[in-house]
Amino acid sequence: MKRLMLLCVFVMALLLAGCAQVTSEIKVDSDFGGSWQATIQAPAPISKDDILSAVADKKEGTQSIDVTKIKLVPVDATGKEISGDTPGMRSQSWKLETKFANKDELASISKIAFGRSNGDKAINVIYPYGDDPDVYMFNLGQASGTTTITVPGTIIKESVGKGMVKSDDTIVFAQGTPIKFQFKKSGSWGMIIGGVLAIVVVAGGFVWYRRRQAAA
Amino acid sequence: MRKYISVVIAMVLMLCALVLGGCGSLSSTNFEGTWAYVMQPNKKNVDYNYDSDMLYVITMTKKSEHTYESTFRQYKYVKKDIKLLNEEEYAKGDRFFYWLSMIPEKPNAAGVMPKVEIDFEFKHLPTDMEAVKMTERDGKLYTDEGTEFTLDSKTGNLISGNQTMAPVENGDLTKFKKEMQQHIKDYFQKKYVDTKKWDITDYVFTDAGDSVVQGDYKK
Repeated sequence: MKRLMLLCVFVMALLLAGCAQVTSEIKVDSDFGGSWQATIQAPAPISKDDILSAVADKKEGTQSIDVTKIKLVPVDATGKEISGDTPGMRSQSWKLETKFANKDELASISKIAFGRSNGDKAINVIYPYGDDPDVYMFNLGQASGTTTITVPGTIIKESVGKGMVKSDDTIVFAQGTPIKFQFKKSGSWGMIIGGVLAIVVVAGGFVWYRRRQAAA
Repeated sequence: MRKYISVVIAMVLMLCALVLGGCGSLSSTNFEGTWAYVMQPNKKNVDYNYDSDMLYVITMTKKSEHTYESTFRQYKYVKKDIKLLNEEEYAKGDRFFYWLSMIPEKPNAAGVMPKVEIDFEFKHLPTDMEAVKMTERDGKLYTDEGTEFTLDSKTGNLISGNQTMAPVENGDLTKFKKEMQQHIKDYFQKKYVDTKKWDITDYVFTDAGDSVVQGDYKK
């Protein structure tokens, strides 16, 4: 997680300097873990080493980034991966892929890469909203580039602000717009009812089996 | 046969009881009440002649089963006056005294220290935030913007990240005011008394009441 934070710091530093655009795609699973894919567009070619050394300069004494966990590959103008990624290779565009284990790690990404901050207070990206136990708010911060988000449920269209709903579970925000909307999570009651039904079926099968055994 | 059907029915009933009785439902914590915390100025060289602690007071009112409405109020001590109590006595030993436009910060030629009284007034600032909708779920409270609060069941403190707010009993802010007063006293003691600039004989802390004082919150 610390390594992910360091990478986020670097991305944020580029953004703050106004010299990079980050296009993101975030997919959230039903346990609120998920993946973050981003394309970093720098004004001049940079290498992976540049990124790593920049991170090392910022946080002395910390471990280098584990690139086996966080995939960072150079891409061309069309977003296609450039083959033969070697140390020192420079590219203007980099593709970042990583996973977040839960909503807390997503909140860390939000703080650093999307500029959300609330002093010493604990903030969330995904949190309950209102009396309906399945309704959640998604609040990531300001879009640093075109940002696409897929959630495990149905987006409540009245809540999307400047976002463009692409499908029931996917929404797109343009650069500079606040990423904030509500969605209704699917599956919780379905899982309970499904679980009850499964137990009934298994128990019914057991009864049927014992009846057949008794009849034989 | 009946035995097996009874087993199945018992299992289904047990599951239903678990779901309805709590395993599948939402637990609830009562967040209704008032809390407050004192925030000291966030800078290196604090000067309580101009800076001041802020007292934030948050009140939560329950609106539905899992929602609350919170209101925030802000207060601070504003410097009202600094009085030189021994002007005549001091002036006798300092011929330039009446040329000065400020209270001297050293003993006069006769070794007489400036005796000073410091007055501060507690004011409610016109910067209260709008009421915020909050949602309670599984023992946590979330603001509309995603800030998370929990309640310490032992102390009654409201906690968010590194910030802790103490409960306010019956609207009484005395303990918070005393904390703010102590910070002011500590500052003037260190800067003026310990350095032999002033002899501070008294601190007067008054209360402007709860009426919002417009336009002077920057004092």
